[in-house]
Amino acid sequence: MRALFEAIQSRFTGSSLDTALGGRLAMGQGRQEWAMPFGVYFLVGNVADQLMEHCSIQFSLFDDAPSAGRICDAYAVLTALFDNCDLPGVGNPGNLGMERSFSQLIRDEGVWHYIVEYSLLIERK
Amino acid sequence: MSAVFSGDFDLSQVKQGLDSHLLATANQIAVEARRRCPVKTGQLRDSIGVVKTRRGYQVVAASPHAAPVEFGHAQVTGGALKVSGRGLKRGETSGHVVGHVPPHPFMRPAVMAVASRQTIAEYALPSSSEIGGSLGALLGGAIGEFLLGPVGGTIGAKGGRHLGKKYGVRAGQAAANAAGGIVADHVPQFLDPAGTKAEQGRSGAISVEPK
Repeated sequence: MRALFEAIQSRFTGSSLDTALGGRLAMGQGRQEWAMPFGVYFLVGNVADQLMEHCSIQFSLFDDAPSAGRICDAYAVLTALFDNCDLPGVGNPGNLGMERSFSQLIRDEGVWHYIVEYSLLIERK
Repeated sequence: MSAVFSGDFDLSQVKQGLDSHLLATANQIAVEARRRCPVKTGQLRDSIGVVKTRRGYQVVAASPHAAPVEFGHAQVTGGALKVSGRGLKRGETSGHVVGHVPPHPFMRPAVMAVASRQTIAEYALPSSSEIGGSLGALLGGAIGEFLLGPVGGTIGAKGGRHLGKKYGVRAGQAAANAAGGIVADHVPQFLDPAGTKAEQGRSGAISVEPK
């Protein structure tokens, strides 16, 4: 799993999503002092059989702007970066790429929350 | 997996079989979700249930805080975040975002766990039936031939295959059970974890639907 999180972080670093979020993307939990917008990703779950490991990863984008424009832009940049992307060094011998399986925009207590979920099949020897 | 139908069969029986299997799967997901859900007062755990829909069954977490727990949320204090001119009344103050509350997913991991067990059962049952049948035919044929000659060998092989399949399936069920699988007396359906979405309703409740 460490290789997976490192691959996500290295893909994010220096990307247009990095610019859109001002570098504020963390694994697990966002920092309390962070300004909006920011992003969080975490492992929803993973199940393994003898050949593959099926992982589900959720990205959450948060924004407190009155309109949904900024968060929708961040969503577009996120999906352009991670949809069907290759994550080098993840799996042995490799993986079958990130596939977007679910996304939903909600507004809770005045904060926009974009939930984006990806499925990933990691090969194992 | 393929199935061969021969002769007349009643479509309502097929529907009934599928229906009972979907209900069993939904119940398994609900049990797993209850086991995985974080408990403070027990309200969220107790709100997880199975409801019948037009298309099948849904596993529902009806508590209003089900979705924030499953997906995580921003932490806002002092009421909802409002902007002047957009829902902020005179004399009313807006809330402040003070951080992020990480998610504690319970519904989606439950779906994934049940789906993976069903896959084990799907592989275990037919293969164990096949292996049991072959071994039974070999043994029955040898015994029949030894006792009654070539004709006895053929009859013995047929009987042996039938018995071997029966006991092979039982062995497969035991194997799948040992792996924590769901075993029904019909062919288990593969449930695609990626195809089964967790959906959030307006009230904050969430639901998943076995397909």
